[in-house]
Amino acid sequence: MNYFYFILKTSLDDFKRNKLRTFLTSLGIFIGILSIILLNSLGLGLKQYLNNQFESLGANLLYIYPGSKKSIVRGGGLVGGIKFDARDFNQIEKINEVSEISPIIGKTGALAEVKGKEEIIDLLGANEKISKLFNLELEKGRLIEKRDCNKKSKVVMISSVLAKKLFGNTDVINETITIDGNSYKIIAVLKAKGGGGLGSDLDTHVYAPLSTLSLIYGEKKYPFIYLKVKNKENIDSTKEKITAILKKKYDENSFSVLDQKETMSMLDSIFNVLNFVLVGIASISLVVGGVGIMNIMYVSVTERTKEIGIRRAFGARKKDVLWLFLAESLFMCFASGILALIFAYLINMGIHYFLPSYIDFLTILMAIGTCSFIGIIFGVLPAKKAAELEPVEAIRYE
Amino acid sequence: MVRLLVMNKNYFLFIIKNAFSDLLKNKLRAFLTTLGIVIGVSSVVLLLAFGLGLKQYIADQFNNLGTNLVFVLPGQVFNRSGGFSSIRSSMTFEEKDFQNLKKAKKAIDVVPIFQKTTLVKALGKEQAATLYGTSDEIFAVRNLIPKYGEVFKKTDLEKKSKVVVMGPEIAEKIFDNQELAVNQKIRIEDQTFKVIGVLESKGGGGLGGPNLDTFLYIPYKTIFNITGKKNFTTFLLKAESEKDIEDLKKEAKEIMLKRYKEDDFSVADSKEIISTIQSIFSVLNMVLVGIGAVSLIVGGVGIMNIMYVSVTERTREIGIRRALGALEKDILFQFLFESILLSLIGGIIGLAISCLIVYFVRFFFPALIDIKSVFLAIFVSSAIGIFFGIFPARKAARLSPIEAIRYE
Repeated sequence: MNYFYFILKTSLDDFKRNKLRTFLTSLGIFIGILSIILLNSLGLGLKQYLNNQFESLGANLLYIYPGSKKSIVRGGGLVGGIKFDARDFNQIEKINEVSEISPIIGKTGALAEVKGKEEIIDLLGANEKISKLFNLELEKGRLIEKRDCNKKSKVVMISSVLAKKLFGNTDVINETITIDGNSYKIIAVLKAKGGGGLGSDLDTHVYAPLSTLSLIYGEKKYPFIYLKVKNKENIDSTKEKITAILKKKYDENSFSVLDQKETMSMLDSIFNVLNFVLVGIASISLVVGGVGIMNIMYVSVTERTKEIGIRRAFGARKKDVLWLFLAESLFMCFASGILALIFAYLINMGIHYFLPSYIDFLTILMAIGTCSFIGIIFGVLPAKKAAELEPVEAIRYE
Repeated sequence: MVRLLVMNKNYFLFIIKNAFSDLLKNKLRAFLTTLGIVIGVSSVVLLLAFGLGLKQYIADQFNNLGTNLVFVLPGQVFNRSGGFSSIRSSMTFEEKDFQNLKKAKKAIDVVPIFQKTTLVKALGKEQAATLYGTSDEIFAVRNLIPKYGEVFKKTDLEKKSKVVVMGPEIAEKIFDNQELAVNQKIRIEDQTFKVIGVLESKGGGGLGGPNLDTFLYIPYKTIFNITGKKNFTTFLLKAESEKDIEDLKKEAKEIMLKRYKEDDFSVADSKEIISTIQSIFSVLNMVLVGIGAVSLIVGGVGIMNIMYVSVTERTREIGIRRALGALEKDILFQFLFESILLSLIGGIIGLAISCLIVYFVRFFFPALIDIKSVFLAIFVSSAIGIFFGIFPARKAARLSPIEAIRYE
């Protein structure tokens, strides 16, 4: 215990003697580890945000997408993929376990306009089942009904968030909204689904009857079908039945039937790869910081050659000298790691209102672990040099 | 700085020699300090190289499928936030549009295309495929060359022959052997077609471009005859040269506007489509380069640190130099030059390493170092040398000569 205390005190004394040097050396490690922690927490936050968004859509959902599972991960399948028609839809609708089902067509990045104010929205066309499928809750007005679909009425449901953005308040029933040059009447204001300011959140969705959009955009087929299964236990069997129906007509690789878990794990895997790449590139700076530590430790060994000689003459063993220097680099890295964690925590508190991000326990462990690792890896060579110095030569060194 | 420009050659040589001999005195230290910059510069240059290579790869993929092309497509291809629209109109064009577009003065070729997904039956197997009802000019316009057999000719088009030219991927899938596919019979839309050729692979697809290797090419008049409908989904117009593209687009737009509303169709050239795809990758690349650049800052901090050490170690030398008549400026330049030299050497070595890596890696992965990256690397590393070197150099210059010479 005393030995440990002695080593710690010697390191601290040395730091105090060279304040600027200690500060700059730690700064390198600090920048590196801080960027890793921040990127990691952003990645984690984004993942969680997406998971929440999916969960708020309700359980037991199945999605039918064009393209194979592999190509969906790569973001393909949507452009030039197959589309489903009314016959496919009717066949799937007849499956016993299906409780709600709707074809979906969508236009992302459509322009909504109200009295000169503009917002980029995602326009979704679906049948009247959409409110049950997506767990949409009414704040004001009425939901899209079967008669709206039959009459191809130009009506839309918007979220309270979008209403506030465009009108300044949520009292907008029967107001007119122009989307891509076509006017629609607002019949419903939906309760906000929440989420951050990522732009692609559910609150930017505007729902219109499928038949209306089919007419306006001249599109009779649809790229997606979403459905709800009555019982959780039936998800897998329903998926098999749908696949069997669609396989008769389309190539097995040209469509996929996904449940929420799969969709989430796909998104997760995309984000994991992205996060991995980002953190990997950020760790380069940590290596550079480590090289900086090594450099300064070598300088320190040279400067303190005489001191080492005297310590050895007074009975310090090679091991003691090794520990003395290793502890110094380890201590610097460890301290920068802790400091970076505190900084990252403060930054997170500031930005988590705008961007989803959070620090989990694993990140803390990883940060401290990586720092100690860097301290040892880059500290051990200079420390060994110090330990291997010939005592007689060292004490004579000027 | 003015002095640096007007001072004589000998002074400059003196400073260089001084810096080099000092760096050589502390080889390990110089090596480690430079290493930080080497790592930083190589990571930035390599990330830029991969980004550039990917961009080039996408452009090549498109150009490989014919240059100077203008596409007339139904609906709006680009949405307002710059990406592709997911609602793609099922509106189609007619024979009359084809005849009208043919009159465009700047078009040397007009190829009509009717595209449809269909089911192919052969050897008892069933396979989904994309049907391409088109004219014989498609092969020249898209640079498609037969690997086995031949492509269909104008006479096949006029005679409405039931012949099909297959992309290599779909031929492989159905017949397991591309060569054996020629002269085989396949059934499409309940009609029997004769395979007269299999095309050379064009590769690609996946990065936004169409995968032409999976298509079935059939004379469009044959398809009209079978389906009874006379619709086209796309027109491909070829301009004589690059400078005619804009004029051709304008002409095509005017022609189409006579029969359709502006929102019902799009006229785009491959460059627009390429740049839309490229811009998505550019954003990602810039983020990566930005994160990579953090390591350069860390390397710069390392230089600063070592320069401070150097100033402390050489306090006495500085005192003696000042006593012998060196000005503050001379000391400043001496140290500043050393830090610039360190980081510039690091930058050049980093650049060399990146070039070497790119040279070997480009066979497996598209990567490209252009002259801009070279200048950027050299400029950034000098800038880091100056920025992080100026503080220690100033400290050295401001040392009081009397105190310095007494320093132990």
